[in-house]
Amino acid sequence: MSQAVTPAFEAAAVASVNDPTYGVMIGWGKEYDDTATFFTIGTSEIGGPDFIKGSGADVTFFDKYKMIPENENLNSFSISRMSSLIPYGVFSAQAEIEFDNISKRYMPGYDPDIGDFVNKNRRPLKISAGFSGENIPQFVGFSDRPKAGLMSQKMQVHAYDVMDYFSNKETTLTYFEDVLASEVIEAILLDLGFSADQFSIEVSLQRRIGFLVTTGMKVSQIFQRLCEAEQAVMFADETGIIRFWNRLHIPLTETVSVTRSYSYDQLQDIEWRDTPIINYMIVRALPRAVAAYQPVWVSSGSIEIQAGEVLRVPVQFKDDDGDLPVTSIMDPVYISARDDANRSWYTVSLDQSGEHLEGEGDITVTDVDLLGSTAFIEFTNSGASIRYIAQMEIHGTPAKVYDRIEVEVKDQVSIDAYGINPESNSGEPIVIENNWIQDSSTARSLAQAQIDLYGDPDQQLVGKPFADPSLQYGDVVELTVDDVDLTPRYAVVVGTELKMSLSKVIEQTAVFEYRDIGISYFTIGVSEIGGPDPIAP
Amino acid sequence: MITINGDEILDPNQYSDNFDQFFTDNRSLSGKLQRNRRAKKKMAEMTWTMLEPAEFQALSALFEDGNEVAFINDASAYGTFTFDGIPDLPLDASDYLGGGTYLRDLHVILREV
Repeated sequence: MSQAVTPAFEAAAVASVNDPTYGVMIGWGKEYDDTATFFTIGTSEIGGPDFIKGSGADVTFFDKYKMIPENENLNSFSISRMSSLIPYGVFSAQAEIEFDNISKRYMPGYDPDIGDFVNKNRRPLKISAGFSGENIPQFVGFSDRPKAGLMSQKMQVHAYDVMDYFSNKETTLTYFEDVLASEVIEAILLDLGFSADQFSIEVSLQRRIGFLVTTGMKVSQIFQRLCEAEQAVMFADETGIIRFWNRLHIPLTETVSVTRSYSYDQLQDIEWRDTPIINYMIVRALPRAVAAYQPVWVSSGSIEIQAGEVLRVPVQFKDDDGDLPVTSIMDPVYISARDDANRSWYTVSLDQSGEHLEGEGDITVTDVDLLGSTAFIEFTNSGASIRYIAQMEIHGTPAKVYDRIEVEVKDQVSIDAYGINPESNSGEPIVIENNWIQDSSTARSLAQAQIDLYGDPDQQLVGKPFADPSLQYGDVVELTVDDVDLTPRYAVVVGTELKMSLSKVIEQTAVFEYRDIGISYFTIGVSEIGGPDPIAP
Repeated sequence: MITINGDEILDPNQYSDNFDQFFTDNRSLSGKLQRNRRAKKKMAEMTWTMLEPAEFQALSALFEDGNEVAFINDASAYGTFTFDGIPDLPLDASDYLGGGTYLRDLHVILREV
């Protein structure tokens, strides 16, 4: 909670006079800095030369680049790290930076050192801010192509953090069986080339997911759906470390660690954010689990194979729930007559009717490929006569739907006061369908959490405190709106924006979301099943 | 004595030196004040009146291109007042004074880089 800073930093943040400072560094040439090592949590100096290691197609993006300070030409920057209006999901931070270009340093081709790079995108950059030179990380990411103008004498850079990297990435891991969501995330990050010290993944609180397919999904979509199923959040912190917080990360208990207290003494302005009322939700899930070997496909007619032909036969697995994912199949073997053995098999006949069965002859299975809910069986007829696969049955391990979850949660008091979801869904229940939800308790928690948070309007406040760059997403604060609150209310920081410029030296916006505390939430291994502890929101 | 780039210049008829201050003052909803300082820079403002053409040319040559110069005033109220600065442009030269004398006033503001 909050970035670790020195007492001097803490004192400066609340002092009547302070000296905000900043640092902006760009790896224009994407050159290695041999003196830098990969960032290691607990070892590397925050704000030091160690960069976040990366991999994948753009292997050097996250790595240890030679970073060039650009402070002297900096006009302004702003960094925004905001979650959406739902209490879970994946979000990324963005930065806007403006540089003075009177010297033409950022004119393409002008500067001997950086002129070849200033019109290129994906330049790694770091931004830090603090007081009196104690600058702490605020942003690690990469740039879009900078925009520079001769007459404007400025260069603008837009940058995204590491989470944006996942929006165009796919994983080679096509499916998972019997895993925790946190294990899926960790496996995908490792698959993309990240090292274990570049991310911090909390353990899932939902039961293990029986089966999930990632084929055809971008990594960001996978993470988003997992976060929805878990009511977790995933983001990159100010140092670039990827974090997955489970739904109990923010400890809203009586012993909660409050990082700051805000009242009219610290806030320069407050705006009430019009949070759409959510009071009626339905959550549906069809979780799957992998079953034992069993018949998953039966041929409906004979299959002709010409003499000398190599034929790939497509096999589509389906059941009452549509396409049926299958994690493994047995290679079909020739049998002369059908039996009850648990194996894939085929028979061969001389004619299309399939009535004149013969021995295996020249028909052999030469390849088997399984792709999710489709398989390809390759037959080769090495003989001189046409032959038919009379019958074929494939046995495999299907990932079948094992439960049909539908949970409906509504807040009648809110509905009576405002109507059903008046702004958020035009008077209709909001439906979430996520088959990676494994149990009805989690489904109910997902619905209940949003109704608890947004059953009433104005659950978020946008405040402008005296700026403190150590304020972080997820900080728990005490918030007092002096005109109406007799006692402080607990709130969580769900968004921050930090701006620095010459006209406004430092400016911070924080989005506070009210949260109730003091609830003893259900904890696996601690709470009694069927007992009074509710599932955490 | 005032020097520019190490050379003594004609004493101005009016002179002021001070600090440019870059900061933002913020007031909380209860009226509490916090000041965020960004930078403190030196500046000097000099006015010469009724300059002969030769004097005008000598002074103008120091500043008219807007280049950075080294300023020292060893008799400032701040003590020795030293900085590298650039002049505001265009230079503030007055109309010619009456009587066909070619006399002009010159007003220069130097700001620390």
